[in-house]
Amino acid sequence: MWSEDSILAHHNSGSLPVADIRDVFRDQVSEADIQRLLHGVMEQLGIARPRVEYPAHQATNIVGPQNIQGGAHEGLQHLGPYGNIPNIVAELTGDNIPKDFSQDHGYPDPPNPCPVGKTAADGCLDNVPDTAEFSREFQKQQHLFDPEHDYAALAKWNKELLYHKLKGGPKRSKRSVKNPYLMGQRLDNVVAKKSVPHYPDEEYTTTTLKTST
Amino acid sequence: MMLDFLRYGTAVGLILLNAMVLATRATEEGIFTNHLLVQLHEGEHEKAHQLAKEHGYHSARKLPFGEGLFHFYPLETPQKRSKRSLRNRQRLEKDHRVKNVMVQEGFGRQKRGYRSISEIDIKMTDPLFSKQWYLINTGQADGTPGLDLNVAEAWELGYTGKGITIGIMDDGIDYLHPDLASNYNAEASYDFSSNDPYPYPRYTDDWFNSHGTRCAGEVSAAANNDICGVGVAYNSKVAGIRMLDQPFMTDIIEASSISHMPQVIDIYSASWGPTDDGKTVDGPRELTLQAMADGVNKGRGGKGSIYVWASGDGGSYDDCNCDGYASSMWTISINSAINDGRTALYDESCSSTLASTFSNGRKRNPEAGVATTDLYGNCTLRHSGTSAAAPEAAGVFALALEANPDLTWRDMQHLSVLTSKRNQLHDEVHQWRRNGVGLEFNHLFGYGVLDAGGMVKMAKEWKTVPERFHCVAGSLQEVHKIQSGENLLLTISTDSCQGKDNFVRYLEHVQAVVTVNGSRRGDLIVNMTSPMGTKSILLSRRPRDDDAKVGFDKWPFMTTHTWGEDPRGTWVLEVGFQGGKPQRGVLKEWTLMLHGTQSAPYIDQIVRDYQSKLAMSKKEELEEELDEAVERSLKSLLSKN
Repeated sequence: MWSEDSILAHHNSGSLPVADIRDVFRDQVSEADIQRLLHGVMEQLGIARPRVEYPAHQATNIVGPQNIQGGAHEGLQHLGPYGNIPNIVAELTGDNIPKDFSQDHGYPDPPNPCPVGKTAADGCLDNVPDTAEFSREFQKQQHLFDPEHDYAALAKWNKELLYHKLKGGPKRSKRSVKNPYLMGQRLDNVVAKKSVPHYPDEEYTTTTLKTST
Repeated sequence: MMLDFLRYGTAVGLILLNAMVLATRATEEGIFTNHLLVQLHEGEHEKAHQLAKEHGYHSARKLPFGEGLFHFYPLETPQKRSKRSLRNRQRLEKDHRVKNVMVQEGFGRQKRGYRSISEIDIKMTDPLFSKQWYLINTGQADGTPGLDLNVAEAWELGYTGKGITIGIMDDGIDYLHPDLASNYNAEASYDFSSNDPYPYPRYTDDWFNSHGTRCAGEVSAAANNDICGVGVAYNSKVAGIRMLDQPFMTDIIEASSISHMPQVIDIYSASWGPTDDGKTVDGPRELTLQAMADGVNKGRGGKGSIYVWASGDGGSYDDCNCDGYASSMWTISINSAINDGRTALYDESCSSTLASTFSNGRKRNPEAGVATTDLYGNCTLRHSGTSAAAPEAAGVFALALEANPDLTWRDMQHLSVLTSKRNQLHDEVHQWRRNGVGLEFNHLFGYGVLDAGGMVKMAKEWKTVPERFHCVAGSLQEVHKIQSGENLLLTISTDSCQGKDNFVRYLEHVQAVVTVNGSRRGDLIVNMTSPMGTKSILLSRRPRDDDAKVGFDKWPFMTTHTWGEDPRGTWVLEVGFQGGKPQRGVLKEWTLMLHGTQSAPYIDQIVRDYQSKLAMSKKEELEEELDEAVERSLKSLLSKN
């Protein structure tokens, strides 16, 4: 991002944050680390370029599993058109293990209906009815034809299994699990903030959401 | 140069004066409120308060302008109010301690630029439109009339989101939904959860994956089609980015999602982030961070992608400054208010929140929720949570972008600061305060609730703010012990890199990068006060966080509260423990990072409303620039002689 010359030119003219350098080079040096370091130097010397934003401004030494919310891990939604669909309440307190049966659902791929302007030639499904029944049946079929695809008991999901799946093992259907986006750093407990946890002082007098059928 | 300033300053002053005279005109007929003026035989405050309680009033306040006069405040029970309050009043009148009771008549005080609901002439055939109180609040579901996004004004000016695409990063979108299909941008959509271009939601028996569809409807549901309701930007396009529905999240998915087609997608709306369990401290990892920086630097043809982030559902037990996404300078973090202006119980507060929109919370009434589209062609009245607030903001920003496509990501933040309104928001815990340049803010709501009408009007004539600079104002690296009972106070005196290329004179964001740990992280509190005296709560107590090892490692706590201030002077950091048990800790680093402009951002802006925050800020800037110019010329004169 910066020319080497400009860095060298200023190398002798200011005091470098020595502690930072030691920290950075102690372990492995990633490109982001270098960028961060250089940026720190540029700023201390007052030659940082305007306008541009640097990751260094937000970077932190985050280690360990990432805890993100934003998936099927929260409860108390008003689900379905009549709100009569049972809701499993995820607990806010305690062990941080989601109390959600979707863990046992597995993750079949949903159908890919053609949006307005697309046809089967684009690789989607024509004339799909927009109904829960269709999606349910579609995903069930997928389950039948590709049992491995349905990641049952994802709690047991582990690197070996992922490796196995990605390496393919026996030849599988085209729709098997080659999702490159599942590679790289895995962020545990990433969940969607879909709904609100229940608060005891909420102005509800009765529970409006059932937790069992 | 100086003369110019002078002339300009006087002109503004004169016009201001004029405007004030015009604005004092009061209006409207009498309505009787539940507020009472009560005269007692005895003037003791304690007794008066007791009396108020006994008779079903919330409290009594002693009035300084008369003997034994008290203001009795009603309890906030909107339902069946009139009958009960009549009874209460009659009982009160008969009480032997009471001399006189007078009902307070309410009279209108029209705010400038504020129109009554009856003046709004918007007709929509969508059946849920009248339930969308967050668009036009007429008092539905016991709400407060007028407490809404003021979209009607923006619509009437012709802004409906045309040509703007909003990406919903979520669990997919039911793009076959008849209220969404016509506004769906298939080209800009993607499914990262199953790696294909069709982000249709995965079916589960509990219909759990309805969230993205609900968010999409808030932004882009089509108008006048007799289906469900209307989106904030009902002619905008919505793109689905399915990324929350796979066995686990990865850095690649996050990074890919927020950098998906940054030249096509203008605004990204996110309702995910670190777990809101009140004990997590987490943020974007390397790839995502790089993608965000790239987005603001290069997205939208270099004007920067707009990232809208929900501030979180962790309630008072959490602090969104522990959420590295919401607290990022590159995201606009949005909190929520409910339809009567209170905070929702799940609302998470932090100093990085810029503004607020609306959601449900604490109200039983099903219609107090957010009405929008639902899975498989359905509609719902009950979309909820802070994640319902972020898409509303995305919709308002779409209207602003239509009004002025040249707005940069920073312009959008400036506009949010300047046009958000305190309206009738109230927060029981944190007071509304003014920062050093007079901008009113609240720890929970930021600068207030977004005002679409105000925003498009200002956006239209907005001149892009000057270049942004970054200054490391100072860094303390010594080790300091902290213990319960005595707060550690540290100071950094800074010239804000004055004399260097990266001098920051007018603040935008401020970060305090702090390394600290303690025997109980959740009991740590951190406050920072700017040279102009604005105190930001950087970290409040999180009772559920019992971490004793990790602490915060170079964690950037961010505040937006010092927006517009002059950062030169002494900054004070206060670190301590709160909570029952004695704790100990160590602070190892405090680095103060200032971000903002060298030249005044508002000085060249056109002022239409002379009572606006913009007018005030511009006046302030003119005065300061004038002062500094005088000082400079005096100095040069002195040095010459």
